[in-house]
Amino acid sequence: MLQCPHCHHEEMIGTLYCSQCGAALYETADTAAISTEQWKKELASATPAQPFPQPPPQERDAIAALVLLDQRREAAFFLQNNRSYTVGRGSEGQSVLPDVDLSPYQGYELGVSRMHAMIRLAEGRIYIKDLASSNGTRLNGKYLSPHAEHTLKHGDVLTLGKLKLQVVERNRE
Amino acid sequence: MPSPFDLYELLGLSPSATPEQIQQAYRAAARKLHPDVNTTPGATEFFLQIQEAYEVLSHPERRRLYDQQRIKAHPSIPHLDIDLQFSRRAIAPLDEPQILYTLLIIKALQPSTQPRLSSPLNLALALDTSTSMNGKRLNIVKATALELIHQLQPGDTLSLITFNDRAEVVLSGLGPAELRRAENKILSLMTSGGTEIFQGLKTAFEEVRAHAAGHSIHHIVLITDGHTYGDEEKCLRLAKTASGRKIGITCLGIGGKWNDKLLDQIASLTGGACLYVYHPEDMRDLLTRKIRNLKQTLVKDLQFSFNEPPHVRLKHAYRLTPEFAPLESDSPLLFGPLAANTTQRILLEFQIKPLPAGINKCLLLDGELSYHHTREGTVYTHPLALTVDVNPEAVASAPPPAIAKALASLNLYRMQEDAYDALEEGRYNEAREKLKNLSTRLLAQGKVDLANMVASEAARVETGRSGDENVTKQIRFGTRALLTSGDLE
Repeated sequence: MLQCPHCHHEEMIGTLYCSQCGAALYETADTAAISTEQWKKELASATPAQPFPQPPPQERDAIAALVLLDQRREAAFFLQNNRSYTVGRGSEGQSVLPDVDLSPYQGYELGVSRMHAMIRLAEGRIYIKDLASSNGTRLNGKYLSPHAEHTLKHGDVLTLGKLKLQVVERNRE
Repeated sequence: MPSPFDLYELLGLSPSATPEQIQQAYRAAARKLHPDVNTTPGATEFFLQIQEAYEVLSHPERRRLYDQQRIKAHPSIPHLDIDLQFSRRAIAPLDEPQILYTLLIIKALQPSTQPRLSSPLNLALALDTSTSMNGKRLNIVKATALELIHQLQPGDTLSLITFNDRAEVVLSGLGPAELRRAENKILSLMTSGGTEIFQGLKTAFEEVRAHAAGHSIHHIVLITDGHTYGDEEKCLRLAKTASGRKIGITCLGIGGKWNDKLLDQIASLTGGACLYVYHPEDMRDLLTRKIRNLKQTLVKDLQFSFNEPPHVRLKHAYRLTPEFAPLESDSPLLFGPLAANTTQRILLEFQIKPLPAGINKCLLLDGELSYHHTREGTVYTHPLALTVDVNPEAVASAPPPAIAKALASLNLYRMQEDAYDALEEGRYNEAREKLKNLSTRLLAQGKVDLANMVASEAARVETGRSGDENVTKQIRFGTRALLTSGDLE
């Protein structure tokens, strides 16, 4: 028997895709695995909220932003009200890129899945849902159960695999 | 009676092998497979086959006769281009069952020097005129029927049958000129009563039989928007009879309230397909394309009759393109008609039982591919055997891209089928989890609308609300459409 690396469902040898979760059961250049040891080393600590970055003209209506927490580089992704955003990592040959593409920020090395999470904005509120990603999504250090929606607030830190993003709301400036 | 195996392949030899090589190969195989030394189940059978092969090939006169037969039995198939791909190049002999996928790609070849083909059609259009069809639906069906008439050419005939609680022949086997004079009969169709598919199907079947001229393409197009009750078994029996008479059936379901599983089965039993009409406006395109393809049929009644060797089970068979259809996995597999220069892609999923050590070939299916060539009016039959190499050193390798891509999409369709089966059987948690996972996978393929629809189905299952058949059908046929979309070709 084969065990699905993603959901541990058992399939017969030679099966190409898991019938339970749809993961490929043959070698592909998919998400780099991160050992739990590395995870344990990382402890959640409160990070002061970053200032709201200057949005480009096409994002002037953004009500919030995801700010990359990385000492070596700066990046921000703007979020508009009443929209949904997929967050993940684009890769070569992939026909559909996530709305928030983390591949230029070491998404692969840091264990971000191609479709890792979904962010939804409705009536000024922000929600996140982990899409059963390989390495999980943490909200202020706590793992989110897959497919369940959680509310986000100003200053929250999201950890996708090992990549960190902070939620910054505009009206908190 | 010649053995279904190629005797040379069985011993791992080329047809030009010397008598010494034949003897060596036999001894090596017999040592490994002799019942005294090899007690794995199935080994004896392989041993007997090898012994038989050796008896033929070691005898000069019997070998000469076999060679003659073999050349006759393995010419290239004249009108078809066949390509076979396996998910693995070789399989290892395992003491547990394993899965192997095969993609069979069949193209009907027509020399470019020949004029474009136009097969005469013998069509029956069975229209549901139950009350639910009233209004826009019926108007579009009428417009489509009128358009269809203008697509027909001299030599084609069409019967029009309407059905609700009972069936009525409105037009019986008329040619294009007569049909044009009878257009007012189509325009004056009215609705009443419920949907009894068997009545409509049976009358259409009788009409097609009554107007069957030798070499035309016999086909029934059934258009419905409702559930039929109590006559499902009769419908399936009739579909089998139709198939025996070389009559194909295409089913078109409109809206959300029709029995897609039943119509799928009816169509599959005849090598046809079941199509979903979400917007009634789409019907025109679907039907005109269907008729155009039928008119260009180069080979019809394409089918594969086979024997399953005892160590193999054909678990699933699907026609992926040009029209997706789950196929009945018993012999014969009905592939249906194939238009000139179009390609059919058939996916087969095999479960292989534990294999004895020492064999180097595994037969998967052995049988005959047959078809009726419409231009020549002749039935051709060709032997076709599917075998895979067996090698203890075989390592897992990535499958060919065509198979990987096809299965990635097919798996989404099957997850959806599994989820709804689980739901029907009351396994709510399983259904919900599958739908959630499916939603994520769809999102990864950029199918945002479909993914959202599946996610809200998962939420619905969670709260125990009852479902909307329209949504179920959009998910079912939406995941099918992933397989027929152009990027898989």
